Amino acid sequence: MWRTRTTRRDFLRTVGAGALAAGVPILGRGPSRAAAQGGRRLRLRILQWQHFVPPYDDWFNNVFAPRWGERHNVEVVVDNVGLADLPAIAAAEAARVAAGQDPGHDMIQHLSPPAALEPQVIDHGDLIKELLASSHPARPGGVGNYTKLAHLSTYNPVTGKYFGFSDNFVPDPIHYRADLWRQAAAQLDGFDGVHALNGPVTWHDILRAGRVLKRMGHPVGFGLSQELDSNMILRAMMYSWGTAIQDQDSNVVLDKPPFREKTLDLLRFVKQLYEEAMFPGVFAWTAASNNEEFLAGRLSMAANAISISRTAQAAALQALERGENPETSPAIQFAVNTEITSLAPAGPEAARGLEHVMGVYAIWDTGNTAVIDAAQQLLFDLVHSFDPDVAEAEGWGPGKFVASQAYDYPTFDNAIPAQKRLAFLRNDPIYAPIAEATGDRPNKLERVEAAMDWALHVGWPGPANAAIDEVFNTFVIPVMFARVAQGIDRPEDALDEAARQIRSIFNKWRREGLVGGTS
Amino acid sequence: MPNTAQRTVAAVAAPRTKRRLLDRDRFLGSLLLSPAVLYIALLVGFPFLFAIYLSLTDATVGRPVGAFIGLDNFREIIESRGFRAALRNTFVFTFVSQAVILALANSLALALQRDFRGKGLVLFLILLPWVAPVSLSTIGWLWIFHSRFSLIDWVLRQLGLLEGNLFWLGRPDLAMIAIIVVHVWRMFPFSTVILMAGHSALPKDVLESAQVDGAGFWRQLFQIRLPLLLPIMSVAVLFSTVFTFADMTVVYVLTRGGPFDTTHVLSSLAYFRGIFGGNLSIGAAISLFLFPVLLIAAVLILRLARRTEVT
Repeated sequence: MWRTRTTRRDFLRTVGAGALAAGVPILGRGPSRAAAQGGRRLRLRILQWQHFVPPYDDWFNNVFAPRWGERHNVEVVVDNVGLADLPAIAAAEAARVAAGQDPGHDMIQHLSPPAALEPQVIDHGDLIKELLASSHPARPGGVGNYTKLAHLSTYNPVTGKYFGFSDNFVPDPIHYRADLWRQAAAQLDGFDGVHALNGPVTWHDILRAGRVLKRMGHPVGFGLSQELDSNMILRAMMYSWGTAIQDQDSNVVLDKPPFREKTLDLLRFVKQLYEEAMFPGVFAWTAASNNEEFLAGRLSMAANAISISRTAQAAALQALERGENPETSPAIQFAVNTEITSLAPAGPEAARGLEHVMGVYAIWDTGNTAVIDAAQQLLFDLVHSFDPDVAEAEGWGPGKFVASQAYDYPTFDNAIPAQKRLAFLRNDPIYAPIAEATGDRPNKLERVEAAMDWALHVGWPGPANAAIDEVFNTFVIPVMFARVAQGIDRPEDALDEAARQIRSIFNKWRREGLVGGTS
Repeated sequence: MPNTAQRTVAAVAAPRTKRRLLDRDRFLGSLLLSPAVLYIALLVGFPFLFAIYLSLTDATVGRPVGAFIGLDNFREIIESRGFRAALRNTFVFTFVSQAVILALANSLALALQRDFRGKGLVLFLILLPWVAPVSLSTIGWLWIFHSRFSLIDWVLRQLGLLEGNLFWLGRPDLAMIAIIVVHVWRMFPFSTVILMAGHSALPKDVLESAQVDGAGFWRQLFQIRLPLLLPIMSVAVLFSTVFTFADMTVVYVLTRGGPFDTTHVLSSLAYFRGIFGGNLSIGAAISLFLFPVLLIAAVLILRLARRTEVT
């Protein structure tokens, strides 16, 4: 274990001394242990996804990582791959760690909790504790709490180990076309519960307006395919209907009373929603499809991260630069009419939504304490870098929140304080030129802030465990819904088959000692 | 102490011994074969034995060394609806695509027996799908079958044959057709090249005699050319079958097994369960179902290869 030989505090102490000598304002750390060990430079290899907001990769790869590396005398190597490639690479690297070989990277940023890899990664609990106790002069009050969302996504209550370290989550709001929504609302008498100006409030609203929107040639679009977005929105609906795959203790409850009836009710609702307000393309979607179809002007509604809004805004900015008239430019008007809801749509039980992506770093337990320490130090600083003032003081450019254009939300709830998040969103520098040109409000995406309250994790209300991960990655839930929506299975049969598969998966991981529950 | 002459004899003796060894057929044969044997042992034999080991354990991606659980994994996958569908799809995918490939490759190989202007360009174009990176070309097909922007749908709409979209990859039957189309497109150059070689090697005197005797095109094709081509055609088909049976690229890129698990083949299902799901042992058990079919195909290939040996 890395703690037995040299602790991360030793690393910080050594690093801190050098930094002070260099007159760098830092979080109590300085030159790396590598420097102390005769100038031998450490190499830290990170694998992470190609961010949906490309400027984030520019910032991380070309600003944060090299500056951090220079400060700590560590050579940081960052490899970016497509999100679909991460699981296969992680599996191969885990096998190498298990065999005592060099995995190729020292840590990987996963986009869902990698619970199955727990035996090969370090316990990230100490790092979380240290962050909770840390502070910075540029941000009074510390980094805040490690949110419940993050805790339940990275902590295994069976083994007592944090198998991952979540630095961020990405909210998954409902995007809708305000112009189309208003037209649909105008066609519906007694459209109770629907706020024509503020978008859908309940799933029932979406069904009722969706019928009209489909007739208008702009169906609503919620995936029923084997991909990320379908997995997320269907779970959000399940939670809003008061049903879930597992309970708090990791017992499978999907087909048990009273959850069974709720699940069946939702299966019937999704079938109705598909038949009356959607179209067959949703069965073939990839993770990019709802973005494509929304941005092509076909869809009236989709659930996705704010990447939809940001892409529309980027197109509008280009139109502005080309000198198009803001009042008549399709691209600019499209951005103006693209809105997000402030809350997740409500089902019969509650209004519950999900994170879109859970950013979880996991450090391989290779026994190389110096590298493990350096990896933890980088994550420690990455969390602090959320705050633009801290980032500026440390020389890390605009910081994580601004670099991601508010796409990455903090899992330490004060890593960037709420007022600073809101200050950014209320005068959003990306949308400001469009707002100014059109007279629209600049705080277009301020509603995303509410996700701090409504975003739940995959596996809710229990922990995100290895069984939940396998169910997620093998698309058991989208397949269940899709077979019913297509009329291939009765809701009861689809539910029974899904529950059988899920139970089998849970039993396997229970035998591995990684998942709790008994049924 | 040896004198100079003795030393010279000893120095010369070593290369002579080596030369004598290299003159022995058995030694030389073994030596020449050893790289291939080593290659197969390391890159085929070991992974195969490891897959058998994994399938009998509860190994996961996080813990590749699992506990022995007998045939539990096989029992579990046989009970699974997804596995049964994948097994059926594997056979449908393989045999339908092979039948189409054979028909297309024969027609094309026959047409390319004649010389014409631009033949070189045609040959280049035919070989293009074979040499293009499969993932790249399949992404191109992904757009051709796109749920909204499908090129095929656009053409059909322009011809007035379609309103709206067909949603190729959103309907199980059309999705399987799309997979077969892409695979045929990708694989038929291979069969075409083999059959072209076969057609060129047909004895000219037999074909000329048939022509003199007044045999028409179809009679020549079915009663002379195809029977003579049968051994080489079988080799082409069997190679292609083995390749198709174990292939998952087109399914992975085009449908990822969707819509709702209806287009998985065994190899894609094994990959999703084993790697994406983290359930390594189940993935290994699924992939081992390929083995009996591939074994039979391999035996047939070897037998046919012997039959077609020039003696």
